Amino acid sequence: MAELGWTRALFGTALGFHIIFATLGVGLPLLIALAEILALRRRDPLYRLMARRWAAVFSVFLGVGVVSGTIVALLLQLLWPGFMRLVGQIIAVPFAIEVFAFFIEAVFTAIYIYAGDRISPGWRILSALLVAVGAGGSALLITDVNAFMNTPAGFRLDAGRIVDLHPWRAMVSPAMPTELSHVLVTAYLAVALVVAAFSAWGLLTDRQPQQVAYRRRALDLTMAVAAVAAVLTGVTGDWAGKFLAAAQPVKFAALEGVFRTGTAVPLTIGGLPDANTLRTRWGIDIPGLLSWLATGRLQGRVQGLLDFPRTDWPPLWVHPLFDLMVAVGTLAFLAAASFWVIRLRRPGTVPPTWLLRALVVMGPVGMMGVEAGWVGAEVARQPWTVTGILTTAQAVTPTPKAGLLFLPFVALYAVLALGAASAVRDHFRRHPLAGAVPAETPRVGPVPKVIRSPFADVESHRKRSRLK
Amino acid sequence: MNTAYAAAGLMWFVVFVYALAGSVDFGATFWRMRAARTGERAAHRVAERYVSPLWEATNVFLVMIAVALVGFFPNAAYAYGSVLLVPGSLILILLALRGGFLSQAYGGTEGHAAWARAVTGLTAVLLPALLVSVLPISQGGLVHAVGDRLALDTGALLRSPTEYAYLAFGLSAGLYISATFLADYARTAGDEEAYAAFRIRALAAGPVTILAGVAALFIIPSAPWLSARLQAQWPWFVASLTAFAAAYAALVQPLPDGRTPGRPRWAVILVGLQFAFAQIGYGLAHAPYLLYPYVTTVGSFTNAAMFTAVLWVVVVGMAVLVPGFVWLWRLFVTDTRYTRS
Repeated sequence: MAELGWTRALFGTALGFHIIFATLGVGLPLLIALAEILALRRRDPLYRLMARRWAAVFSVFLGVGVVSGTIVALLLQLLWPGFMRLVGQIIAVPFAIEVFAFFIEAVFTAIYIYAGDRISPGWRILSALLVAVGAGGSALLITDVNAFMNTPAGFRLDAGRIVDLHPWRAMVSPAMPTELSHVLVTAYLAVALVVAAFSAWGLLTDRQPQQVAYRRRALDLTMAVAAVAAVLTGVTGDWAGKFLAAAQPVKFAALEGVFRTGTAVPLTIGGLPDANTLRTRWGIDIPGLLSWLATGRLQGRVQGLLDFPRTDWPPLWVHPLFDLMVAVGTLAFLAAASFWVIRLRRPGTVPPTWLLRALVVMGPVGMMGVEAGWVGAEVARQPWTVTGILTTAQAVTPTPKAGLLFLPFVALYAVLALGAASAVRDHFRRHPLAGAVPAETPRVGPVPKVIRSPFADVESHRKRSRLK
Repeated sequence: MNTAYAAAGLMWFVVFVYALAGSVDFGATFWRMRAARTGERAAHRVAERYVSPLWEATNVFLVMIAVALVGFFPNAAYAYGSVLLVPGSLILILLALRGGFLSQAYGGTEGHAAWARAVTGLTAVLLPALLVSVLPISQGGLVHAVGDRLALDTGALLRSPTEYAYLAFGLSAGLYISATFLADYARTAGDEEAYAAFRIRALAAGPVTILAGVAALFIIPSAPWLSARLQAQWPWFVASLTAFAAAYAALVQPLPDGRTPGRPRWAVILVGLQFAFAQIGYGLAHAPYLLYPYVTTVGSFTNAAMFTAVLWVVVVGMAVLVPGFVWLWRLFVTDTRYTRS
């Protein structure tokens, strides 16, 4: 059992690392495409500069995302062969399509970044949009397999044998609509917050007018995306909660820390569920709210953990994790709302220091929300890998001592993270915003035809250093 | 039964594409490091121009091999997943280091960049060797049934001379394929200095590859069942050797205009044929078993519904992938504005 724990820790680390870069890979292309569109429509070179700077970061992160994603794809087979055997029989289609979705992302990234100066602005915008489509599609298809794991569909088990199999119906499992929509909008929210945090940090530390003009545009763009995504995060989150209460009641009960079935069940905010006293301690109860959230009626019936055998209970610490995710979503909404209220009341001014500071904090906090949501969703499905079909203990590799790989992989991820961070830092040290912003920012003017690749500066720097 | 072999044929094709594209990609990464050390700026430029935009698209084929195995042969995926835990993890770590540091082989301080180039170059030269060394594991004798599970005998693997022959083959083949390809790439770009550098490397690595390949398949084979079946496929291996000889001739053929000898475009095509023929011969010999003697091609085949579904995805996906790759190819391989810039 301890060995299974280490194997799960290893895979959790691999996926937890990949999720950061996958999320950035989903969100950044959307921001880049929006900046390219604004550059063309408003004829404002600052937006082109923005797209170029974000693209440089994106290309570093995509490299890390490609390797961490390849690791996850192959580790799935090495660590969970029992699961992959089932996948191959029932739900292989999304994995197969994902390969091609990712291929679209890789091809158009190469074209956008390395050939951006040889194609027309229209093609460039289309390339950036296709990168976003490929990245989003790729993430959604993997999430689709996860939806299947939550609510398996498309087959029947007859005395242990798979019968009545429909691979395409397995793809549209009951959890699919809620899970996919929530994952996509929260990725956009988290990435918009991360990028906004850098702009806010810049506004706090650098008051040169040109840089302020650039960063205010960046903040407007990212916070516009964040505001829309924050609202949608709430809507899809509510939808997902209602679905969970009906379709996976034991998971819902664990996430919400509910032991006893009843009507007019209170919402417990925070606190730790205690399996001995069968109460959630130190939480704040709001009467009737959970019933209302789960069913739409204050008197609605909500099932508690005690309705289910103890062997089917997930670990109870998922409740605080779930609340952390909800708290992050709520804070993100408040941050976006404050930004826009102040922005519309006091147009043309830099946001107040307290708000900029809050936005800096919201960058990492947003990513934390993504991680908390994912860990909570996975752990709360335990002891099952595929609900009701395959337990995690059945899915794990029969090869002993798989957990020994934990430390080598943790070391690898530390190296990769440091490498990516130093690459991004080096890039911006060599290309400070100070020298890059045009002295005057014309609102109207022709768009230059030739747009340099984000690496044009790297190339010339390299040539210079080689000549030395 | 026929559909199982059709699926195996499709997987053969994906493996073939990755063998060539991956060799060029890894080899170019290695040659870039070498050229940076020896100060050959022309060779360096050519290798780097190829790797930077194309490695992520190439990597897709590796993931596709894994996904196709799961979709078409789930029981084989189960068996390989269990036995390859340790070697597979080693490959993954090297792959991650290579990809993760690729974007940093330039930039930063010169010391940092040199370090990143060393990491990417060394991991890249090892990866084809390690990937090819999975083949002896599939041939039997190194995997044993322990209770109800399959286990890899790592000690026997490390003591197996066949394993080292395959390692040498993977190592030299990666360098040979990439040098030939980059020679052509350099000539297309009009870079005769780089062309000469890669031509010499291809001429050196070619015979080593053939020796290692013959040694692995025929001189020190580990599995009697496979040896007999390989010998039955001799026409394919003769064809492969002929293609190799022709590729060699294409590289040494003098040109009328006095440039460095060789017609690299022909050499690339012939090297592709050389490996296609050899892989057909090997594939036909290996065909009944995916992991001897425990996993057969027919016995591990997926259900009909899944086969049809995955086949559709692959066919439609290829319709997207091929034009995409062609566009990429035109932008980064044949567009002289890029290759000569």
